[in-house]
Amino acid sequence: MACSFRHREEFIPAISSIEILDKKNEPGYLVSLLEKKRGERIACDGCKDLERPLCLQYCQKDKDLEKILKEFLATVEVKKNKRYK
Amino acid sequence: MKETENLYSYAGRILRINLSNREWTTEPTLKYAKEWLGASGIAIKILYDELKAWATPYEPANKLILGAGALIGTTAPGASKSNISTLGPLTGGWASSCSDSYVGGQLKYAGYDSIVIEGKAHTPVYLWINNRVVEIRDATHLWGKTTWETLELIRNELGDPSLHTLSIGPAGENLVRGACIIQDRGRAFGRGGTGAVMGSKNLKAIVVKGTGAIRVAKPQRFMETVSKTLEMFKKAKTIERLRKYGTLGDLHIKQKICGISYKNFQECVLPDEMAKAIDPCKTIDKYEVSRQNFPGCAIGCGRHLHITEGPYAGLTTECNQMEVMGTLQGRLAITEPTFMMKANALCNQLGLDVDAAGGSIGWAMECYQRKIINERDTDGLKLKWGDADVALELIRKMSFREGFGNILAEGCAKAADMIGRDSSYFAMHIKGQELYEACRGALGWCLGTTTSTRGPAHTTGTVMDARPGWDAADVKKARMIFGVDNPNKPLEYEGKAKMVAYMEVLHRVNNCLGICHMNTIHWDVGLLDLPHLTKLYSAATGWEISVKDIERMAIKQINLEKAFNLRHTSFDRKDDLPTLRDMCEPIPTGPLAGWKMDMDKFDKMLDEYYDLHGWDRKTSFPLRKTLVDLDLQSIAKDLEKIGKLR
Repeated sequence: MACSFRHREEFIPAISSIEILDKKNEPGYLVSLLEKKRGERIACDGCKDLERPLCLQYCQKDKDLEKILKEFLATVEVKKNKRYK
Repeated sequence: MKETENLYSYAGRILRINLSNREWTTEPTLKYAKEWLGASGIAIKILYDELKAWATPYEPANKLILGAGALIGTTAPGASKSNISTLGPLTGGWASSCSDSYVGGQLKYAGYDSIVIEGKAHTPVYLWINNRVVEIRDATHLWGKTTWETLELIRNELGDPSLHTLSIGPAGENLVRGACIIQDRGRAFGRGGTGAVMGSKNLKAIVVKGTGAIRVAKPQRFMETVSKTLEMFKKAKTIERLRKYGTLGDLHIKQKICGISYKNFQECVLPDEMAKAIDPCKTIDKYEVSRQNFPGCAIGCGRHLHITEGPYAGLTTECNQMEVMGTLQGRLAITEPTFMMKANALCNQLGLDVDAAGGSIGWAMECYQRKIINERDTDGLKLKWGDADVALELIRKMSFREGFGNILAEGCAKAADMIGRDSSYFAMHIKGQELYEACRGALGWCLGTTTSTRGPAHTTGTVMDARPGWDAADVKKARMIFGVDNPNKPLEYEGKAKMVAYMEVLHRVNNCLGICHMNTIHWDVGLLDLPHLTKLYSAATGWEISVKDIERMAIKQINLEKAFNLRHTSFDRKDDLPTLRDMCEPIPTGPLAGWKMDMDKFDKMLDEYYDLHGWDRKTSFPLRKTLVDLDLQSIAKDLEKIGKLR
């Protein structure tokens, strides 16, 4: 919800850059961040203009999510650098 | 009236589906929202206005209303609860229940604040609401399936593993009076028998998917208010334990305050050795495999367990909360620590409310103990305290209305009437609904339970006054909130009516906005209170209202719930009293051993409660002035016609 608010100032989980999915055959969740736009979903920009990404500000599991987000942004950065080379 | 123009925080539409003629329409939420706030407030308005006094729970004329609170779909802390309301089969009056909800959020994103389900399908059906497209689909193949099977079958059928369902199990299909509606696999809209009403409509499930938007009127102000209120959760002392163990982490407190049923409330604490043996914190530490958190929740007190040892090895389920520990494990004196998880899972699969199960089985086991019933009554079963297998078998038999289970399925009050033999003393119920709450030794908790308009419940007015561990700052805060000197003195009768009246308002506001009580002062005086909720609501909707305004809306709702009950039942003052056992017997063991309710003082407390509400002391009926002052003149006229206005 916070993610979609960041993009549109409305709550629209369907366009969020972050997807929280139930694991199908076991308890728990899968968290995925979007590198590129997919359908209505907007790519994650890491909320670079904010002191702290909005999803982390509102997440109960902010430490876990922060780790996922850092890894995600690092991977995106590596890919970007490869492209420029 | 345009449906959604300039409407914030609400989705804007109420969907009405008539199962009899398979037609659906919408109407604007604005028709109700400014006066009735949301969810349960809108539901009671619709039910009161549209149900004739002679309507009964299982006939097509009854309506089942699912409502997503006004703040659901936003980041407001705790905005995770949806409500289902109807004319209920247990009390015969107002039945209303809230549960954590993905479905509520999906409903809002699909563009609807509530669904009003009317009529009765000719054959089993389920509802598939995909944004603005509404389908009434055949559910013949789902009839007879458990809620867990139904979830998977629907996800497969609709080709979307992320869908969430509200469904009934065999208990709802078989019109078991205490049947409930289950979200996915483990979240129950319990109490009241809403699942039986859904079954009476041949409605197996409701599935909703929404991809739209919820807008708030003042985005920056709203998010700032959310951020500020979230800070409160970082400071609250009780949150860490709640996150780790849910309400099960409070067993030691329940033991100190004599707040848990043992052998159908014959005692109000568990024997020490049993409490030690079933320590739920140890069970959670041992078997937790993941945590569970609903969108909007600022706490996250849920979890999944995978049991790897003992009689229920292999079970993977959502962990229960304290209610199951009290109403099934303690009440039936069962010492296998994982029984509560197994019983909870079974009740959820069959769509049976845990309190309905515990209340009826507890009554039966006590009757068996006292030789009021024997194996000739019970299909040969020996109903001995502590027998987990028998308890699980009775849950099954109740759900399928099989043999002795058919009697239990009527609820303990009616079952006692059917059996007779002076067994009604052991049927622990108020207004016909099974009691979970231990009423002796905590008077605010007791008064809120006995006067609750939906039958006994601790989420429509109770106050957690028996809370060891409050420090001086908590007491000071509680004094300010409730306006009484003794908020931490559960055995003092004075001031409790005022505290209950405050909590009744808070609970209504929570239910209308979709806020989980655990995120509020219901649980911890350091959490959300009416001023915070009012600020969130004003920023979200753009309607600048005061705490007084929101209180008035809640008080109107309470009066309408009361009037609804007066129209449909014969309730009066006698139905706001505790059970005979709670009135007559002292607490036998534990830290409060010997404490007995002083009925003269209880009566004075009840008088004070009625005075605060503007209701007649003798009958409990509203005074004309009360209803007129609340702009409920038409309700006053209705009650006058049936002789229930004073």
